[in-house]
Amino acid sequence: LSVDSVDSERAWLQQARAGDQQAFGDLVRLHQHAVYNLAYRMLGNRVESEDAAQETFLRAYANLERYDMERPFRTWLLSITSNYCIDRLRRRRLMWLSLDEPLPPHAALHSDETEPEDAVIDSERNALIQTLLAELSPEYRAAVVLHYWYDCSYAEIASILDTTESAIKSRLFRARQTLATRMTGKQERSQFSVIAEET
Amino acid sequence: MRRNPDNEERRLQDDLEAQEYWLAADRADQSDQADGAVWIQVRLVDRLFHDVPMLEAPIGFAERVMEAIAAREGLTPDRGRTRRRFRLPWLAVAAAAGILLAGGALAVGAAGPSAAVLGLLLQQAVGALNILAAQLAELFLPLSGLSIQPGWLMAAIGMVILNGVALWWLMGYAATRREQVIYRLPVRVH
Repeated sequence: LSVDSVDSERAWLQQARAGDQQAFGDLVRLHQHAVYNLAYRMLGNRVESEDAAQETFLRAYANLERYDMERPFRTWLLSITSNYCIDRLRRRRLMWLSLDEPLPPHAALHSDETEPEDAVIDSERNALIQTLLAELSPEYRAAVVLHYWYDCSYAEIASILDTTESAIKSRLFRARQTLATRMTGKQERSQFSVIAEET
Repeated sequence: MRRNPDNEERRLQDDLEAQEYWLAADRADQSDQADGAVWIQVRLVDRLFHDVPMLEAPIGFAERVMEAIAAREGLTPDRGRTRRRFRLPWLAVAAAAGILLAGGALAVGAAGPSAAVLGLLLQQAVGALNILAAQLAELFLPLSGLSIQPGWLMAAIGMVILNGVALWWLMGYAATRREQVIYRLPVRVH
């Protein structure tokens, strides 16, 4: 955020606290992509992600007075989003839906817009990333997303996920190892399928 | 990676730590080719995740959020109501305690306290405590005739410890499930 945005954000926060819904709308517009992206990377489904992002803003609005103005607003929002998504993923597992749940849809197929050929590569990359993320536990997934997409330091991730810095280091380390192992497995499988197709 | 200049110093520190971590891991795994391959893959993962753009919220998302806020009755950031709810009982307790203390001080002052009166009061208080202790001791009287085997004693101690652990766990669980003040808000999945 630029200095102007920070000033605007503070002003909007104060107005929103006073009950100004329009000011809160400006805050939503400012942070909507960050919140939505985190929800999508966590849940891997556009409909659920939009629902989670919306719920995040509703909760933020209802609890605006509990927000500590000394801390970045975005961190607070991301914290609400990640906790909500982690709980949602846990409940999903509890309901045994995860057993029947298909892999995250291919981004190229899921998109509503027709994309140029160059973008297909990005879409495939996105789909691979979502498939890999889906194999991590919710807590590890949150740490990885916050690390790669949000430029968060270990301390910030720890603050968002309400844990210690050393726990985050350990989670990221193990998550990368897991992702690497999974990626190796996928490559081997794809090589095998290519060979099978050729023969 | 999207860098925030304000964060740069802290990030550099993190990166240095991470680099040391990887170097140490590399040294440890040089002898093992299979693990070495994993480390190469880890770097590929870093490269894969690097610079992946942030997804944008769907068009009209902010408007839908605002409509949802408007549609939910009573959804307001009401500071005064929340604070009053928590402050009032404490104010009432403090006021009652103040009145009792002031009343007690006035009564003692009016009675003209002497050493004899205070001594008598203290004696009565100690006597009341003695009666209470005797009644408690009576509760355990049936046990005095039993010869408790070491095995039973160990089992009883174990049960006490287990109960303590269970209680401690329950309290911890309750603490995590309670409505979080700032960062962990109650979850309601539709």
